[in-house]
Amino acid sequence: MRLGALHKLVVRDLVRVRGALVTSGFGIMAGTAALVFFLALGLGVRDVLLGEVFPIDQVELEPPKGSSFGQIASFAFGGKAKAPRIEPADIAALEASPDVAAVYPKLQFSFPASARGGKELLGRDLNTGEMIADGIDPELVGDVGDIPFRDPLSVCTGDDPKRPCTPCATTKECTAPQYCEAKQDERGFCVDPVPAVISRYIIELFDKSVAPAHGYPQIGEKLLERAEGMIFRMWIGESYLGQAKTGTPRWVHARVVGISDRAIDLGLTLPIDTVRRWNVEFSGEGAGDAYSSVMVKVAANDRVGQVVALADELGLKPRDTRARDVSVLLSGVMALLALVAGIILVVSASNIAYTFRVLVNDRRREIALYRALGATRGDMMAWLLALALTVGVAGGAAGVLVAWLASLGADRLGETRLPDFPFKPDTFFAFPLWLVLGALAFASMFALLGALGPARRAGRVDPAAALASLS
Amino acid sequence: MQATAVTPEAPISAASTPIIDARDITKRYGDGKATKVAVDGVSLQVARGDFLAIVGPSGCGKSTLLGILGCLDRSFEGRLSLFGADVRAMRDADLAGLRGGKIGFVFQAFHLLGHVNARDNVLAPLLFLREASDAARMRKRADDLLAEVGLGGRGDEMPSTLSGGERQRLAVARALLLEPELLLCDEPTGNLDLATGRSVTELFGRLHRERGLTLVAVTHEEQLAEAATSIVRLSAGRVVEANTTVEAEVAVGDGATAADGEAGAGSVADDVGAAAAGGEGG
Repeated sequence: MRLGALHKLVVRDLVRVRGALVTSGFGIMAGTAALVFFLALGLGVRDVLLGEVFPIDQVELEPPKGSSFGQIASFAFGGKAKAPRIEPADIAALEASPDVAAVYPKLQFSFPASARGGKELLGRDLNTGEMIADGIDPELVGDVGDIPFRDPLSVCTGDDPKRPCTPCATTKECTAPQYCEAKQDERGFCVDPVPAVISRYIIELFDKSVAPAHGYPQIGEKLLERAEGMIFRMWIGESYLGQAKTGTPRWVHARVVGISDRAIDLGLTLPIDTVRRWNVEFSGEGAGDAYSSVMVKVAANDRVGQVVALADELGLKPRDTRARDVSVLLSGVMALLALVAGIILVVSASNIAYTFRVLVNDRRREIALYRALGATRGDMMAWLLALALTVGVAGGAAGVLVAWLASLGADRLGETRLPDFPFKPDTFFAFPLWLVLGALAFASMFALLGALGPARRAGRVDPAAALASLS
Repeated sequence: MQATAVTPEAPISAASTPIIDARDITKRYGDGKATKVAVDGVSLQVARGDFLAIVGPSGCGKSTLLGILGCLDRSFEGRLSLFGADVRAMRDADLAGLRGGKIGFVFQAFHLLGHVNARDNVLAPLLFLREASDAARMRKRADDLLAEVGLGGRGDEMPSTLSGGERQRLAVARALLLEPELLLCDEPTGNLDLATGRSVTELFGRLHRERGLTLVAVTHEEQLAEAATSIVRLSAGRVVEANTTVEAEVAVGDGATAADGEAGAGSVADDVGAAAAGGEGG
């Protein structure tokens, strides 16, 4: 049978038996809507959790925590045991792996520091007795705001200085907002404040815990974006807890340039070259490449296991397995919800089977007539299956639409009824193209499965008997 | 040429291959002791241009035989050749093509499509054509056919608005759309009153005369049988009489008549076949 004729037969049937087909299509629509809604919800939540809260395309590896008796005894009795660190050779081994897309070593502050600032944003300065900070590769952060994330001294020194910098001994010799980046009693250069990025988590923590407790206004992401460029001062080499082993404590200036998913949860994240210089200044030469951890970006999400195995060979452990745990949990929940939707689709397929069986029974004479007029068994099967496919695609499309509308309603409810919480997303749903196409394919498949038996029955109708019995 | 009953063994003349050549056709229903023989060893030939009436009492196997001759039923014993091709050796698609292209059907119950108008009923065979057709030309042909059967200008009417005779005329127009070489009619006047049945019978006679159409009609109406050029009478699934009414060549062996055919159906049919085969140059 030609496609045009098949189309004509199907269109006629859509008019003739629209009631039964709408009923069948409703089941497919309900099943598809449930499937798409649940999966879109799961994907949306997964995007937020694994994209922002626990990124799954990256693994942070660190040396095992010092927990052995030997290490404890060494620290307790003033031994010279060093804190665990990642060697450059380990970094090279990771970089050589095909499962690894990129490796970004991290350097923690190996010296005490504190900070003071925030008056522009908070109305009064905020003091932190202890400042935690990490240095990371600028490439990992990328472009954040208008201010480049790099060691400010790199424009004055190095192989390719970008512009001449003003030599100085104190900040008074520099034009604001520059400060004098120089060791105590030495001459340095007037440079821009050190760029720093912070995490969303720290903002949430401040707004939900620190601000209410100390009477500060909540800053929120939007306010922070307006206050980007906020400059504060850091006292490096000394904090309330103690002083660095070497070097003389001094003031430096830092500037928040934005929020980054790569920033550490609590503390500042600075360009690694800056931290390397300061570590050497206050902890000696060895502190310049004593990497505290390494952020490994995997070549593909499903290669995390191989990267973790390689890390294990190097004596490194994943810092955080929450991403994997969350991923497993989410996959389980999504599978459960998809199963529920699948059951609805199976029920709707059986409904289609019933509808089409009745339809074939009612049309034995018509089928027999078509056979007499030149139709093959295959033509009759194609007719029924094309009708079922139409019901499936239409029901599936309606289901996707219903799921999308329901997601808008749910997002609206979430926006207006749910209280703010950390990482609260604009939408809890994700509708990738593959989900929409997959849902349509599923709906079509179940409709075809339901109609397959009746279609075969239609192909087996004995035309002579059907026509004679009604003569 | 005329329709004849033949013996199963009679050779086929290569020079004049009949449109239908059925040999020893038997159709059984059920298994074992419950087996019912609906058609019992029927052999017959229908030549191009014949008008054969298959007559007999209700339940004698007429419609079953017609279903077999029209390739609607393939579960039979014996040999059946249509247009020179062995039906049992043909694939479903080829048989469907044969039915759609060379055979037209007219049924007692009309079997019209109630959800489309008269014109679309006539055009229904196009749905299963393998080749594309000129829609405008076929639409005009449908209207011409409707006019030919007395339904001119009524193509837009739904079948439910037509009378019984008109519905059967519509069914005839549908059967003629693709210019079949053979028209198989199953009790075409069975649901019609006498006057309407007569007009439909006249229509068949006209189609036979003017178009040279080959017709095989199953009927128990004497009126329609009288319009045929040949008659095969069935009883209990067997041929008991073969009669060429126009040429007045009656070929019934052993002096048996249609009336006493019930008693010795088997031998009579076989003898009829032998006589006819000899007479036709078999």
